[in-house]
Amino acid sequence: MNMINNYDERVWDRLLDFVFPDEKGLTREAVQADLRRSGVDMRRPSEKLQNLLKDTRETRDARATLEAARQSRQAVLSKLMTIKAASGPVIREKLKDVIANRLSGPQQAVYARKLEDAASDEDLKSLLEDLSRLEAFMEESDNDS
Amino acid sequence: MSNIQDLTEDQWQELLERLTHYALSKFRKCGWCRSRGNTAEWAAPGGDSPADLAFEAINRVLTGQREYDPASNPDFHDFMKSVVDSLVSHLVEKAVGHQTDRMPVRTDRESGEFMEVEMTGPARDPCDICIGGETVDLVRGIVHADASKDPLVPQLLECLEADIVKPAEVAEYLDVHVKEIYKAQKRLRRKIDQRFASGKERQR
Repeated sequence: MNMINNYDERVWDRLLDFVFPDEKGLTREAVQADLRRSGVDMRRPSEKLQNLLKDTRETRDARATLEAARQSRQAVLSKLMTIKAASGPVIREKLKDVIANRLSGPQQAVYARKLEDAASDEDLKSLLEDLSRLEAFMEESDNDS
Repeated sequence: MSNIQDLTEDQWQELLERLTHYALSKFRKCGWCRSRGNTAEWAAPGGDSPADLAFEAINRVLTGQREYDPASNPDFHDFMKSVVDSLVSHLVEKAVGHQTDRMPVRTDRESGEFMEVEMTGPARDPCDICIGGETVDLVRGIVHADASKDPLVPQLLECLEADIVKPAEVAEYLDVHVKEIYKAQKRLRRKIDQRFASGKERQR
């Protein structure tokens, strides 16, 4: 019996591992049963996990939305640059397209009005510059956020 | 697991349960248990439960405080266990303060540079250092009390000392049916659990 006192920590450590097997070899039900038997309450941590997963999903979705908006704006900026080289009627048509598809609400109304008022090529090019600046500004705002 | 974003809510929940089970095994070795009535209350110094630690490990990975790299850690589950390990180690260090020995170092005689000293045996892991404390006393006490009634228990210790640790191998070595080993496992498990639940101090 004295042998029992002679075993070092390593043997007792192994005994605990032997008596309480690692979860890897257990089914999920067995893991849950062990936790219940040992008096571990999983309700609060489970709730916290649900909240964490929800927050993580929302953050990921928001990042994805921002990224999509950024890519879309870059495409519009490239389009605006190509319009610059076009002639008056073509510029007008393309600007109309950009205002209709890229802007909304009061901003759209303001630029639609400006397009109607633009009489010369110079006016159209000035409007084009304004729209390019607006897109660049929105891009910066997205990057900041 | 190449992309942790592919895990479903249910898989995360299962991971939480499995990591809690894993953390509980560390708590048991460290003796981080209080008795409340006849129920064990597992709490590390500072009050964290095994489930709190498991949640914290997941939280750190999901919020990017701990980065998961599938290239260096192909098994996500093992990686998560290592995060739990580091949380437990941190608590152990806090609990024992400066009593824990630092990693020994020696210097190269010629270059004067520090050289790593490979540690072997139970002192490799801070949790293993803790097993030397009251948990060993608790388990030893149970085995002592049982040994006269159950001759399988001392034999089991001999096997474990010889690094025979799988139930089937133990059964073969002791020439008994493996069911007997499972029964002994279950008996010891129940007794250790009961002792933790009724309060470690009472058995001394």
